[in-house]
Amino acid sequence: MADRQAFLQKIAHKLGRPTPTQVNRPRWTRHPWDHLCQGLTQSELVDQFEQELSALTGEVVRISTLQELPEAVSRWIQEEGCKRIVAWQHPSAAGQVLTETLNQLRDIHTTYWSSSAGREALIAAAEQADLGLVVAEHGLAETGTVVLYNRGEQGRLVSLLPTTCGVILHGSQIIPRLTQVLSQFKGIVPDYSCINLITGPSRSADIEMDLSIGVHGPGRIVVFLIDDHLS
Amino acid sequence: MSLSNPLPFKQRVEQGLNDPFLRQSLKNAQARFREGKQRAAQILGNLEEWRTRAEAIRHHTIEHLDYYLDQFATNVENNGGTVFFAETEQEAVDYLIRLAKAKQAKTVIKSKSMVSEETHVNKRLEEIGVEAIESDLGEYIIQLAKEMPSHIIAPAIHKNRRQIAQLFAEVAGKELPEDTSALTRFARHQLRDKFLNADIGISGCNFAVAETGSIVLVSNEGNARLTTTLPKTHVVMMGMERIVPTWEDLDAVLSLLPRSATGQKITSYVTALTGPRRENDQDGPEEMHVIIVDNGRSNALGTEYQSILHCIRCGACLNVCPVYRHIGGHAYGGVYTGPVGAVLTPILEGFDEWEELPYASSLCGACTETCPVKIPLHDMLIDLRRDEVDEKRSPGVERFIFRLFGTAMNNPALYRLGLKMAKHLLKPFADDEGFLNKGPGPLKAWTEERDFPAPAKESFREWWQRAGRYGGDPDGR
Ligand code: SF4
Repeated sequence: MADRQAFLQKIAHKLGRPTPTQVNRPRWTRHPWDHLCQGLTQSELVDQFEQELSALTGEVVRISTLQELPEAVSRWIQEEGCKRIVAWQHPSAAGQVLTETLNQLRDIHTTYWSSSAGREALIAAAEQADLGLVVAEHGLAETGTVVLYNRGEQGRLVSLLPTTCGVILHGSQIIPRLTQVLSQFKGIVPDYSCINLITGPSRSADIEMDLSIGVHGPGRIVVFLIDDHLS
Repeated sequence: MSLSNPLPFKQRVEQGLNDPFLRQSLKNAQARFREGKQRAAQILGNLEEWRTRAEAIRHHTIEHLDYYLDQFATNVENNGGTVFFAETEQEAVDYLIRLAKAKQAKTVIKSKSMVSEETHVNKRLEEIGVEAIESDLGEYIIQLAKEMPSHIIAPAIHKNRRQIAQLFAEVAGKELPEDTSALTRFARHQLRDKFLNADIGISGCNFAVAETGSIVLVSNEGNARLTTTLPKTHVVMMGMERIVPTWEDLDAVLSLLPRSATGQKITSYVTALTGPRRENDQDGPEEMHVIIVDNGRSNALGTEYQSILHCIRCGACLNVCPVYRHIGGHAYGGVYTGPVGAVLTPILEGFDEWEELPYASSLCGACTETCPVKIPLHDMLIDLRRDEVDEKRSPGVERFIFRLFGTAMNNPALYRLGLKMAKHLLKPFADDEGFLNKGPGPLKAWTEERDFPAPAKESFREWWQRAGRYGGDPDGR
């Protein structure tokens, strides 16, 4: 077994000094990303998010208030003919509204991701679902990305195994870019074994550079975007 | 001769040169990736500032690599993961084999990992009866073809649709239509099954964040997510240089990686993994093992080649390289292809099998110009050549150069390149006064008798282009 100390000492030796016990990280007063998304209003950020995601064939359903979420989600599910759904149970108000909505849908089978249900059964349900519903913590305007924090009732596979990934997102939670979300990670990642940034459907260009969609993950992504930033 | 390098260099080059499909598809791919990259750069508006920052971060990290690795490893352990430091390929694979045996693993699913390619993991697993399946579509294709990746970003770029359909047909036991969506559907179906049943998932690591002990993976297909979520054991194989100190530092390199690679602003999936699954989690692995691999990387530390460890594996240097375009990835013989491979492989493995690689470049400098972390690739290629000359390894190589020269004479674009090359190529042979007194190849006979002037810094053609017909006249009459 290679020994950690020996491994690190070899590096120190090659670098011609002992292993430092403290390092002064360079500090910068400005960043190359400072100018990006500067001066945009929240409405403009939300619009940019929509444009970016749509350009990647992501779908955006705008909803004016949380109260209208049930109707919008049910209609979408009906129109698309979804039969099997797997969903997060998210502690937020939107998460609760989502659960109530799904509970009222008839002829549709919903499995909630849960820390008490059996793992194998959950995986099988996600595998067979045609829609997986999650609640995003943030949206990134620059790239049309949604940010998902996974743990407990917020399983990782819900956004991955079903053929379509459905995301609930508040307009007020859309931030300019990666920068703002990364700045929180130091405090947040210890609580979540997995954080996902998702931008559009699963895609590949491995066969003669021809774009194919849904190679491993969902081939569709739909974001139910609540315009709460306007009120 | 190593496993990854079955044919001599010249034959590999010839194979590449004689494959018209390969040359055409590389040309198209290069053009597409390059355009994407340029557009992405335009949108950023201040690419130079990004490059400068990314270079500074990479430089600082590698200068303090032992410190950050220590910090990273401690944090991984605090999060419930296990860390193993592997000095050699052997140690890395032995650890994995021990683990596979302990878990009584039958199948292993892998998402694209250059390090596992570098350490010949699949073959070693096969030897103990464990099936290893590549899940990245491109990697899956070349695994079926029993070949190596030929591009960092697009590993199966050398395969055409018909070849892929044939490979899949063998697995399916029946004919498959030659269209992309049918082939993709087949692969998805095939691999889903493997994912659901695999005992171990092996991933690479795009970036490891020292301050929290997290692993960051980027992928477009989502196969990295499946690999790290479904199997009960997750093994990360990472080159020891893959560290960034903080999440803020990640911003610079993570923003540059997809933009430099394909021109995307971000890949479909960016996943941050911090330890194995927690008590209340139903998915995610029960165990996370991180194997940190040196395998020759420390050869670069403290030398003029140290900054090759800054590489973020974006493949941008491949996409601008005229030599890569003509000969393709397999000609490089190693896991890492193109300009980065020509520098990295001899450093990782020594000159013995790879002495020709530093010559697989036109020294046009396009690689250096495009590299998002400003690695001076073509300067390193010159330095490697000088080192080879110092080691008196040149004769075989010289013959090769002159053969290339012969090919170049038949192709005007290459000829112009060749003229540019000559001054660099001959530089190592010139003495202080700029005279060649031990010229290579055909020049040898001449220089045995007298000195030969080294080519001027600027060729006539270059001067003509710069100064024009009325050379030197400021009014340009
Ligand atoms: S050497 Fe530079 S351009 Fe080439 S793959 Fe590495 S980071 Fe990208």
